[in-house]
Amino acid sequence: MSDFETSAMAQFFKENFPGTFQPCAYYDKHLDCIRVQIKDCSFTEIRLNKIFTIYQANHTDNVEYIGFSIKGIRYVFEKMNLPMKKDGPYLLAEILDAIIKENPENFSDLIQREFSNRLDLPVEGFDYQEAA
Amino acid sequence: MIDGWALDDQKKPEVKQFGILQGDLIRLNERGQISMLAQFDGIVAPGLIIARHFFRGLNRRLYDDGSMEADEDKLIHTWRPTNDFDWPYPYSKPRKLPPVQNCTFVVIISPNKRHKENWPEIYGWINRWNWVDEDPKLPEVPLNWSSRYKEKLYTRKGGRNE
Repeated sequence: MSDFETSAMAQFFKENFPGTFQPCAYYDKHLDCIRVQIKDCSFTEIRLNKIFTIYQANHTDNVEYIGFSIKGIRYVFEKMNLPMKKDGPYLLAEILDAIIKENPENFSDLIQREFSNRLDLPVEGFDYQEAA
Repeated sequence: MIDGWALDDQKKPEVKQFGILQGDLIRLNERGQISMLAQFDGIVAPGLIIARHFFRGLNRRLYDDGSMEADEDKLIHTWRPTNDFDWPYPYSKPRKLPPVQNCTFVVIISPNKRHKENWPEIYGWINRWNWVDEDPKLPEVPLNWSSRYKEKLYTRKGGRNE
């Protein structure tokens, strides 16, 4: 009996040995986002806003975040007429800078609400009593 | 190719064929994202035909396949599968798990507009699949669906609460 539900996937893994996971960041061209994943497992995508989604591992006893995506990357390049190729790669900071300028409200909301609460990071100047 | 529902006529869904690019499967495997491949095999391929809710359009900016309005075209099929899958050890086999509590499963699809000449039989290309939180009042619907998606197209009868 095959280890797979479908014959197509059984055939795929006859031709390709299952890959070994390494933490990675990559561009998903179909959904126009940068994805960062540090663990291979089943996970739930939690949409924070139009720009950010975080990945939470399933089937674990503890809350464990294993990745995130930043959305609308190529859109911002196209809208702001940023060249797709220049001398050397773009720094992530340059990409984020362009996205922040395009979507300032999503960043301020995220930093204050999500980073401070979910990741337990103190945010300077943030009024925790007011937020509670 | 995978059978699923097309909603061109929202009153009369039709079974059509959906595909995935071989290159997408290869890249997932090269990165070792084999739990997603196990979910594709165990949930997406056999389950797209039992999708319950159908939406169109993502509520966020998206450039794809030469279009600055690709967000408007994306199709979203959702349902609650009877199992989840992962693949913790590549030298072993995929593992069947219970479904994720309080979640529903989402498949995002690009309609086949620009590649009809080479792939006339393909209605849509499967781009992404994942679990999302479920709306507690609407079974098998993603939480806050109206902020995620532009429009709801259709709901098939016969869900787990009917």
